Order: sequence, then C-alpha cells, then structure tokens
Amino acid sequence: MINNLLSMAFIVGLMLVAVPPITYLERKVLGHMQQRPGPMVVGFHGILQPLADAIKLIFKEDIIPKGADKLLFMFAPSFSVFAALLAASVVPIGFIQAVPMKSALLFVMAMSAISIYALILAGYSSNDKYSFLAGMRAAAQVLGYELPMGFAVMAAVILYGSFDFNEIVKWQSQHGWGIFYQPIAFLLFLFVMVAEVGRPPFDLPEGESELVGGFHTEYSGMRFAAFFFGEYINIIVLSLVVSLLFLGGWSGPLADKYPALGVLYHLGKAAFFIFLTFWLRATFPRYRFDQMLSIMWKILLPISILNLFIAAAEALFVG
Amino acid sequence: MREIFFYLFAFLSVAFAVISVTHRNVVKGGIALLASFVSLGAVYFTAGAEFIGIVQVIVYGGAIVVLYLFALMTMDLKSFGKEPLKTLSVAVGGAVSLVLLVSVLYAGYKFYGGVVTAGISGAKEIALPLFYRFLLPFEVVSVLLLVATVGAVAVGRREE
Repeated sequence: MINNLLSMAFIVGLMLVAVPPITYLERKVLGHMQQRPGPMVVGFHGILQPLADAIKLIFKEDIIPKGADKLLFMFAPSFSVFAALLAASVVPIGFIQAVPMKSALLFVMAMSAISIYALILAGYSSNDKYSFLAGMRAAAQVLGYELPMGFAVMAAVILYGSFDFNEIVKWQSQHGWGIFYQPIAFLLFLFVMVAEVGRPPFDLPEGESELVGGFHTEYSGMRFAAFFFGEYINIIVLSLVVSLLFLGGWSGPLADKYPALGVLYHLGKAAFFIFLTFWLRATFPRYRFDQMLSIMWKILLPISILNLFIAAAEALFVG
Repeated sequence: MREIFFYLFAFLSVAFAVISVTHRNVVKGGIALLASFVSLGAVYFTAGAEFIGIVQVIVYGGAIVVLYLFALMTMDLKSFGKEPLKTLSVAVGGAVSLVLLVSVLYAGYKFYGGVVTAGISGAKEIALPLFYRFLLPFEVVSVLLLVATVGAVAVGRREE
C-alpha cells in the first residue's frame, strides 16, 4: 500500500515536473532542425524559458468570453489533465507501479478515448466559430483513429496473451521484442498515437493556419496551460506504453539484477518516442481534414484488421 | 469502502441519466449521458468486473457519445430548445418508462443480494463463455447488428 502510494506520487510528480523541460527541449529541437537557435534569451541558451512561460501564464488574466457556456468552459481544461494523469497512474515504469491492474492496457486506451472530450467541450463552450470547428474536427478524428488503434493494440495483445503490462514485458524478455514479431502493429500504433495526442501532422483540432488556435483560441492563462499539460502528459504516457508494448519496456541487460536500471531503460526508450513527436512536427506539414480521414478509414483500418490474422498465426506458432 | 463507492457511483449514474433526459440543451444532455456511462463503468469497477467497466468506458464513453455529440453539433441546436413538449409523446414515454421501472424494481427486490460481486474480472472469463457456450446467440446478435448497419447505409444513401 505504502509502496503504491509512493509510486503514485512518483509518477504524478514525474508527469508534472517533466512537462516544462519537455516544452523547452521541443523548442530547442524544432529550432535546430529548422536551422535557428530556438529560445536563447532567458538564461544560458534559454534554459529558463519554461520558468518565464510559467510566470507569464500564471499572471495572465483569465478571460471567459461573453456568451460562453461558463461551467463547461471552466471544466474542459481540467478534463484534459485528469484523464491524462489517470492514464499515467496505471502505467508501470520498471518496478514503480502505482495501480496494479489486470487490464491496464485497456484502461490507458479508455482514458485516452475520454481525454478527447476536453477538446470537444472546449470547442463547444467557447462560443466561437473556430473553436467549434476544432471541436467537430476532434470528434471526427477520434472516430477515425480509435478503430485502427484498437486493432493495432489487439494484435499485440493476441500475441502476448494479456492486457497486463507486467505479463507483456515478461513475454518479451523471454521471446524477444514485440517489434520483431509485429512491425506492422508497431507502425500503426505510432501513426495513430500521433493522431491521438493531436500532434503534427495530425494536429487538425489545433490548426493554427486555418483555425487560429483551434479549440484553445478563447483560452488564456492557466486554463490554456492546462490543455498543454494534458497534451504533453499524454505524449509521455503513450511513449511509455509504446515502449512497453513493442520495445520490451524495462527489460534489458542487467535489468533483472538492478531494477533501477530497468527504470532508466524504460524512460530512455520512451524519450526516443517523445523526440520522435518533435521530429515529426519539424518535418511534416499538416494533413488536410479529408486526407486524414481517408488515411484512417481507408488505409490504416483495413491494414490493422489484416494484421490481426498475422498476429493470430504468430500466436499459434510462438505461443 | 467498496460499498460506499458502489452506491456513490450508482447514484451518480442514475442522476446523470435523469439530467441527460430532462435537460433542454441537447449537447449538455449528451455530456450528462457521458457522465452517466462513465459512472456506470465505475460501478462495474467497484463490483469487481474490471474488464467490463473499462470496455463500457471505451465503447460508450469513447465512441458512442462522441458520435452523438458530433451529430448533435451539426444540427440547428437553437430550434431544439424552443420546441414545446407534446402531451402524447410524454404520456407514451412516461408509461413505457414506468413499466420498465416497476420491472427493474421488482427484479431488484426478488434477487436482492447486497453489493454485486461479479466473478468475471478479466477478458478470459467473458471470452470463454461468449465464444464457446453462447456462440450461437452471439453470432445471431452480430447478424442483427449487420442488418442495422446495412439499413442505416441504405437510408443514408437515399437522400443523395
């Protein structure tokens, strides 16, 4: 019990503390990929930029637009953070396991399915055309990616025979990483994961160039920041999950003897996927709305269903 | 502890269901429906049926309510609120729900056993009966769903 509470405190703390440095790293990575220095003014190479941002956001006036649905408008950003933190609570990082759960993988999917309501509610309650359109886009996007994501995860689950992250890692430490058995599911999951957290090239609900800021056009101050906390926590959680599912999680050389090493392995693998989202943002233009939908429904969905058969065959032979 | 949460979420689920039916703003009604579904998922959790609780949240909370809200947002919402209640539809709906309520209460009274503790917590316990013992009903239901899907496509096509 005490162990669980400590792990819970560690995971929630990690999620909240990790977000500001990640925003800084994202700007730096984006900057250097685009051949400019990124933030440079505040502190050494702009290292205090997140602090400056936080001070600015805290002291910014909290505006609720006229004609907005006040209750939903105030409630929507917290939805995004809470859903993300709930998902984080069931994801084990090495030996740090806050909430042991048999169906933890499904729980993460449920919470990520719920977190999209933050965008829909924000879009609806803002009483703004751009926000409203963004809310609609978010709703259509979730309908698009949910099925391929479910099938990609199911392929992995058929192979491992469990929804439990511990069992999944155990299977992989015996048979080898899941990516070698299920490369298609891995790629599908990566694709869909980017759409799920609403990052470029699937950041349609945000769409600065056509929808101003999308769902957060009318938000300011800490409510605005809450959306980004939710988004970045979601990125961290899904990066942890994808490294658990396909890259063996905390398994690795000497990880059995030194559990702390396993935690480092896991965080390192997740860090690569977090970096990948920055990389995608720097290199890809945004998909058009209809392109996104047809990719999801006409390409990814059939592939993911066919992939289920491959997974079933593998499960028969590897067992 | 478990009982407290069971009754708390059961109450929330019913309360939000009532709000979703009675609220004049349909979008807010849809959001109340979401809250009701999620509370129902939590009720399954407190009863020990972890898997069903999560599936409830994914399927109803994640997919169906999103679809509802998407459809509702495309409609002209302002005209909804002004529409007066029709006596006939209120009477028929009321009668049907009364019959349902009485039968549910009767069933609850007859088979009362305190807090339900389900023996099916994981996927395996559901999948085995579903795909072996009750395979035929399961397949019949899937055909029924297919018919509904084809019907929906047919109705949608006609408007073009």
